[in-house]
Order: sequence, then C-alpha cells, then structure tokens
Amino acid sequence: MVTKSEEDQLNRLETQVDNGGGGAWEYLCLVRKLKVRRPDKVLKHGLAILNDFKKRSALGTEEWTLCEQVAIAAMDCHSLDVAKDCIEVLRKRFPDSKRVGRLEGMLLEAKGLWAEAEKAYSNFLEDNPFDQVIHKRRAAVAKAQGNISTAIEYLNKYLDTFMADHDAWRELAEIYISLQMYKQAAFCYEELILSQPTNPLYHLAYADVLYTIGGLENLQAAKKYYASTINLTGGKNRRALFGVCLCTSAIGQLSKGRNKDDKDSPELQSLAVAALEKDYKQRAPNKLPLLTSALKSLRVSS
Amino acid sequence: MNRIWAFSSSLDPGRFSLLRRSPREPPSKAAIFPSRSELLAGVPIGESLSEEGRKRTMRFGFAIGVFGVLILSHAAYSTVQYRGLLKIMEEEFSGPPLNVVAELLVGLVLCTWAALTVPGKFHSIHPDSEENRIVSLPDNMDFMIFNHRGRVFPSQLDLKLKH
Repeated sequence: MVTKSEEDQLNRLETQVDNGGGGAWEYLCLVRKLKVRRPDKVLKHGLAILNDFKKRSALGTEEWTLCEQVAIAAMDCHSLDVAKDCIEVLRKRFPDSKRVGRLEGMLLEAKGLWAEAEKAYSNFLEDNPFDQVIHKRRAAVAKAQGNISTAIEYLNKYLDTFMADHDAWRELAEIYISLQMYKQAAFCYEELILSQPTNPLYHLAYADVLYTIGGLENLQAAKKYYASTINLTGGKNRRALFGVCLCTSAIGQLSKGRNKDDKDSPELQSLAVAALEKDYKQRAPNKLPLLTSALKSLRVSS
Repeated sequence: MNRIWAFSSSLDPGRFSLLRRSPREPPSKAAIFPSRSELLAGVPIGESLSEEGRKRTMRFGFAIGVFGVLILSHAAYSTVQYRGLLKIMEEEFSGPPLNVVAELLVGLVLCTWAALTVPGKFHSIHPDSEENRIVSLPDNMDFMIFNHRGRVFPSQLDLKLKH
C-alpha cells in the first residue's frame, strides 16, 4: 500500500535523484519497498551504482538484491543484454538458486520464447508445486500471449489453493474488467474488501463496478460504497465524490416514474458537490466553471 | 468503524492515540551507507532540526521521569515512617498523611508525562491522515508482463553492466 506521505517522499526523492542530487540508493530502496514500477529510472540509477566499484562494494550483501531489481527493470525496458549480464552475475554467485531460476524464466518471457518459459516454469512446479510466484508467472505468461481465458483458468486454480493472496484476486478482477465480465469482477472485489476492509481503493473499485453494471439496487449499493470510500479517505478522493453525484442522478432518473421514498439522506449529494467545489476552488480555480456546468447538467437530469 | 475512530479521538484530543507508537529508533551504526531511518527520512536537512528537538525533549522527559520515580519512592518511605510513628504512639492507621497524598499525585503526573514523551512520537490511527491514507495500490509486480508498448521504444541510452 502506498500512503500519501510515502508517495510524497517518493516524488521528492525522484526529483532529487533526477536532478543529480544524490540519494539514488535510498530511492531504489523506496521503490522496492513500495513495489512501484519505475523501470527506466531503476535501470539508469541502479546500473550507475552497480558500475561504480566503490558504491557497489559499500552495499555489502544488498548488492545482489539490487542486481535482481536492475535485472527485472532491464527486462521491463527491453534492455535484454543488461538483464542477461545481471542474471549471469547472480547465477555465478548463487549456482542453484530458484530465485535466479525464476529470473531466467522471466528473461525467456521477455525474449518472447513462451514455450521455453512455460517449460522452465513447469519444471520448477514439479520440484515444488506450492511455489506461489511461479504459479503467478504462469498466469502472466498466458496473459502476455493473449490467452486471457487460460490466464483466468490458471488464476482460478491458484486461488482455490491460495485464497488469501489479494494480489491475485486483484489481478483476476482487472482481467475480468478488461473482458467486461463485471459480475465476476464484483465478486473478486468483494473478496478484496473482506480481506482488507480499511483499504478505500477496493471500496472505490467495487463501487465503480456496481455503477457500471447498473440497475437501481446496484446503483444504491454503489452509492453506499462511494460513501464508505469518502469516509475512509476523509473526503480527499475526488473520484468517490464524483461517483456519489453520478449515482444520485442515475438513481433519480431510474425512480422518476415511481413513488419517491427518499430513505437515504438527500444531503449526501449536496455535501459531495460542496466538497468538490471547495477542492476545485483551491487547486484549479480556472476549471471551476467546467465543474459547475457538469454538475448542473447532472442535477437537471435528475 | 466510525465509532472506534470517534472514540479514540474523544479519548485524545490531540489526534494521536495511545494505541500505536513508533518504535524507538535503533542507534545508527557507523554505517557505510545511511541507516534505515535515514533512508526513510529521505532528505534529512529539514528534519534534522526537529529530530534534534525531539531528542532534547526526550532527554528532558527522561529526567522528569526519574524525578517522578524519586518522589514516589520518597512517598513510600514517608508512609513507612509514618506507620512506625503510629505504632509508637499506639494509634490506628486511618489513612496516609496529606503530604504523602500530594507527593503521590505529583509523582503520578510526572511519571505519566514522562512515559508519554520518552518512547517516541505517536502514530496517527485515523484512516484519513496523511500517514495512513492509501492513495495508490502497489503495481502488481508478480504479474508483470513485458510485451507492453515500452518494448517498441528501446532505451536510447547505451547501458552496459561492467564486471
């Protein structure tokens, strides 16, 4: 999870490193800790450290962690030579490590040799059928080849065994959304909310999915989940504020003909609008008319 | 859930609660590269001053705590003496004398204050505070795939790993 203060720190370090202010190693540590994907920067700064003998020996055993990080970043940037060199260095140091073996499998993936990669991974699974990362890599290989249905199958099989792995649930939800299978995606997000009820982003994603499915009941549930996102973020999530407005107007449209039993609080929308207007006034005053006209059109239609 | 937060904030108006507290920072080794706390602090220039101030209040708090414990032990000592005196005068013990009660109260306040300041700063438990508000999920690195549009633009830098 990346919290607000960590994000600020990452951005600050990033500008500092990019402007040559030092702190590259700290930046790389933070990138690893927060699990963010910045392959170009990791490759550039990590390689600079690895090529500098003095800095490299100062790292001690962390050198190998950095080597792995740079290798993955290099594959992501498609600099396969660098990745190969890094993996060779690691292989020399750790002759029969599975972790290096996984990197070699990933290199095969990056080269586009899917069959070989798949073979390597199934060999690993024969040795140890409970290697979670290898299972995930197999799903990723299927996804990279475009076999989305195979990827879903792998993920489902994997989640039967490792139900607590929320990263896999999230991946599955995103795959379902890309296929517009919203019911299944909603199920995945329910699982995620159950496993981490204080994470507002899962509430938000679930509300988005419900809103997309549509229908009066789903819309009402979506509004509730947007409201819970607002509750968890202290109203600092603009997407949730907009979501509340959209849900209210959609619910109003659907229940126009029927008798109106306003059970839920009517202030919710006006409060959301007030929060949005305040936020825009503070951060982007010139976009404020845009916002007011958009909100007005929503309210007119309701 | 709302109620829990409300409860904690009503307990503690300073937005910080007793439930979580930052671990005491380990003494920085004569490290070759910066220690973890420094790594996480990022740019230490602006924060070194507050760090220094925090250390000073911590030392001050520690002294206050020692003083509080001394007062408490003095209260215990005078109670023992008082009871000895009562035995000599052959009177019943009805309650501690006023100065002992006063000492106990002062000692309690001082020790509590020291216990709250010395171990470190409190972390916020509010889900919407800057330290706790989650703004983005980590990129799913386990499912990373490499045939994205980035591969069409190979990095123009001539990078090479030297051994």
